[in-house]
Amino acid sequence: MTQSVTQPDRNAGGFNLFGFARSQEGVVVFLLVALMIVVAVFSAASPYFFDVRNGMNIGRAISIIGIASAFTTLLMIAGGLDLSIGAVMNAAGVVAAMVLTQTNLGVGGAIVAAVAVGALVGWVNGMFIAKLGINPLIMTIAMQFVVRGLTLGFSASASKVIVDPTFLAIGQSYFHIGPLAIPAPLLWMLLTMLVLWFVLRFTLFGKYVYAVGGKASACRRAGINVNVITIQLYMLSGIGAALAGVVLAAIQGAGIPYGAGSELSVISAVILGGVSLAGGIGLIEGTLVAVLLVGVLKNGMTLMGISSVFQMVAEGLVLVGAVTLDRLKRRL
Amino acid sequence: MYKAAGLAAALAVSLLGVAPIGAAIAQDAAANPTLTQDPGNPSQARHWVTYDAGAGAYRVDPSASGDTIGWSAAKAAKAADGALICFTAESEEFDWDVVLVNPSMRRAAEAAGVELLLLNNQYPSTTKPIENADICVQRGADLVVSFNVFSEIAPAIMTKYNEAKIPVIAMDVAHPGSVFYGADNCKTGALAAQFALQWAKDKNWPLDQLQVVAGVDPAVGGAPNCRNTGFVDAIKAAVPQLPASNYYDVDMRTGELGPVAGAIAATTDWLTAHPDAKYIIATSINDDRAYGIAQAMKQAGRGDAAVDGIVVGKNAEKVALDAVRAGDTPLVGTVSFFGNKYGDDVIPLALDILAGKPVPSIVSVAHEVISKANIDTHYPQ
Amino acid sequence: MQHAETTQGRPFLEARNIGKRYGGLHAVRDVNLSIYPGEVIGIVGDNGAGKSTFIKMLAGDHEPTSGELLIEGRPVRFSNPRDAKQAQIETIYQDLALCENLSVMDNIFLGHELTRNPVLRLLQRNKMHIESRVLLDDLGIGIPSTHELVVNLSGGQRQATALARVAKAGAKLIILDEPSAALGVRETRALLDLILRFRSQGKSILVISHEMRDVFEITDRIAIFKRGELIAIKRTKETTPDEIVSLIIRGRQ
Ligand SMILES: Nc1ncnc2c1ncn2[C@@H]1O[C@H](COP(=O)(O)OP(=O)(O)O)[C@@H](O)[C@H]1O
Ligand SMILES: [Mg+2]
Repeated sequence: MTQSVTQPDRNAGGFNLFGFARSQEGVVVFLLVALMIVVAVFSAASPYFFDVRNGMNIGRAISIIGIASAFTTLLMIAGGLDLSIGAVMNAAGVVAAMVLTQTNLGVGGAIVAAVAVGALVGWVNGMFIAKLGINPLIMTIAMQFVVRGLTLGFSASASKVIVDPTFLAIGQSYFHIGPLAIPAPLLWMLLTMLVLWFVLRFTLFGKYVYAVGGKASACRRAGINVNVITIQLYMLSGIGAALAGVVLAAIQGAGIPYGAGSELSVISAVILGGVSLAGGIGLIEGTLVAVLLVGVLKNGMTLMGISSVFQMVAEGLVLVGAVTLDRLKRRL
Repeated sequence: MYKAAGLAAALAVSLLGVAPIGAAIAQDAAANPTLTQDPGNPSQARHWVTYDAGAGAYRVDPSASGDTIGWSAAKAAKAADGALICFTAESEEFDWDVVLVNPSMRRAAEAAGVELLLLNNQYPSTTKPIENADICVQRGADLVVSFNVFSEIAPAIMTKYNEAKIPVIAMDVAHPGSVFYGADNCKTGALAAQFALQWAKDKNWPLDQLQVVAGVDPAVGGAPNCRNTGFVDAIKAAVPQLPASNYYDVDMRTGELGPVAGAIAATTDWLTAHPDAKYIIATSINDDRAYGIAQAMKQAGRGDAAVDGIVVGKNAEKVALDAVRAGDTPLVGTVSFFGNKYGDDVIPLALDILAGKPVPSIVSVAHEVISKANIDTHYPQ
Repeated sequence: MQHAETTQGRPFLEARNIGKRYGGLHAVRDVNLSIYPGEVIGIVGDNGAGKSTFIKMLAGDHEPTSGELLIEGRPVRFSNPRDAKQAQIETIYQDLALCENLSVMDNIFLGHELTRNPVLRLLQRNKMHIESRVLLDDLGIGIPSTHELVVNLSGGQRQATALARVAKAGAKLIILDEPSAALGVRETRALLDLILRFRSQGKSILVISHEMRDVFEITDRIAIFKRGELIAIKRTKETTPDEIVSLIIRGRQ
């Protein structure tokens, strides 16, 4: 064997523009360009838009969807789907608030209890989906009902006000880095994404996430325990939703058992970011830029005084545009 | 919206062959005109009415006309044996219903010894209320208390009850041809405005520099809007010198994260766009939103109720009561219409109707702003 | 030559009355077959004869609905492919079972990734790329880059990727389901040489094929499947392609 052959070979043949446009990295670059255009337009349209404090407002506003989206990115790359995350968010916020007000387990106990609820819901989802082959859509909708009902029942539908300053700091404090005051929720979101980016890119688990999404049967035949991976991913999804719920409760200053139905916003952000519904393809970077893009759109439109009703329309159109482009570029 | 419902009601009534108002007026007392008015309209006259089980409609009773305020729950009739009241509750999810209204209905029914069948209208469903009407009819209810907030579907619901000749009390949103019980949305707005102006005067705020913020939700249409417009109209009347540019409709963006988070995000953006705004007087359609507005002000470091501004909520929900009591946010008042006492009026009202006694066509609940000054009287800890 | 005697001694794998039902369909029934170390068995039969179903049971991909399997004389139960792999059985499926969204290297190492740090299990990408390159060059089938995604590969290159995975695993029994279907002449030659090399290393090979010439070149015995049954086993040296074809078509000589 000669030296030259045993070198790990790099991408042969130089840069290929069409190939790049079709790749997952291409999607991220495209979204970044779209984001920059949108930022430029709003900066011209509103004097309040291009401003550090407004940037931080956007960061805080997207953090909840961002945290949940990061976990959902992993699940959807592996071909899964979780529609119970909105219900888990509510449940986690209420559980945290109840632990804080009715026990002396403190902030740590509240977070652990909330995360445990998320993990449990995810485990149930994962068991039924992996072991019995129940369709994820059906299973997680069913769990959404179960969790919502239990949350309303256990809380007697009453919102629980949280006064513990340490807990509130999770959602309401700022980290000062130089002249920047970064809202804590934004930091949690960025940390979450950084960790999951690392997992996806560098670890065996991350490789299996892509592999299972690519072809689960091939993974099984290669000796990978696909069921375990699937269950772990649904548990992670539940944990992610619970963490998002904790931060949401801290931002709100209350655990509110009703109202939130974030699952579709989360899933649409993940798809906008380039994750294929069929699984196997996607990057955390894409999800980050997609969440930013939606957040900037909403914020900019609010500053321009556009009704939230039309903001919904815009959000829908952006998603349609993104998936249409995704279809078209395959013909390149 | 009310107009449309009224037209539809008139149509429904004439389709059913019940004498329309114009024709009935000329007739004698035995065939008094049926109640077709739209009782949700506060400017409308109130009448004494009795239920005509034969016709399946309320009749305006000229022999018992006059002061409609004189009706008293305390003097209500006793429950007949085996009477069944069907209560189609707004929801079993939101705390206004689960914590306040629904328990009050159950409690009062039990105290009166009348059977109560509670069905969940599952707000914001617009189909459940109609399905529930079928169930009430099927179960042979003697009277229905309908807590359906969509006036568009009220005529469809009333058609079923009129056919089955079941008397109806409508809660909070008018149903054509029924007795109305509930809050006056416009009045809650006016009361909130009164309270806010008093606060501004007490703190010596320059009235011509007030920033009037109404937390609106374009997805919630109809009657509840008056909780905001009533507020704005009352301020305009009291402070005519305040320029129009000091009034803001802030879209509460009730989205994927629910009403509180939406209100926080929307208000945060508004505060960013109005960095110098002081003397804010804000209100919204309910306490979730009011609480969110107050949280955003506080978290932006602009939540000093003595300088920056205040929020007056609606409904006296638990989050707002806790905030009012704690006094550490700009949410300093909430207009209560005592959902926790709805049952105490509605069940006796139902018993009088069932006993054939005349009752007012409109029974308004008491409205009062709950603030630190009176919270312990109305809501003792 | 020694493989005339390979059917003596203890078989590596023994299938006893193995059967598989899919609902009402009896895809495989009562198959008895012993596979000895160092022998190549060809499996032939019409489409739908049950060949793939049979090898999937040996590979742990499907559980038999009747009969039993013995490995080196001990009864075993394969409830998933992991069990079969543990028993040193590696399989190349008819559809190759590759993740098309992953690179050649990822697929070669799928399920056997090299990692460091037992907690984080970080992938050793560079090392795996180098080893993949060596394996592929060894197989003599051209794949320009181990970074290439499988979705962009030709049929022969995919086959090579699957072969490299099996070659790496170092099994005692290697099963190949129609491996030459997508291959060109040069690639088929390389494949046959590889199979012979596996045999010379004492491995057993089970290969499903329609190519009579290939079957006669490399196998020691030929098993003929018809309508889910194993109707005959012939020593390659003692039969002819005509005899095998007539067995496949008519079920008799
Ligand atoms: N997963 C399955 N479910 C139901 N029937 C199957 C399945 N796999 C194969 N079959 C049926 O079993 C029979 C044998 O198929 P197979 O083993 O693939 O044949 P071969 O590989 O010899 O062409 C065929 O009739 C096929 O349709
Ligand atoms: Mg086959």
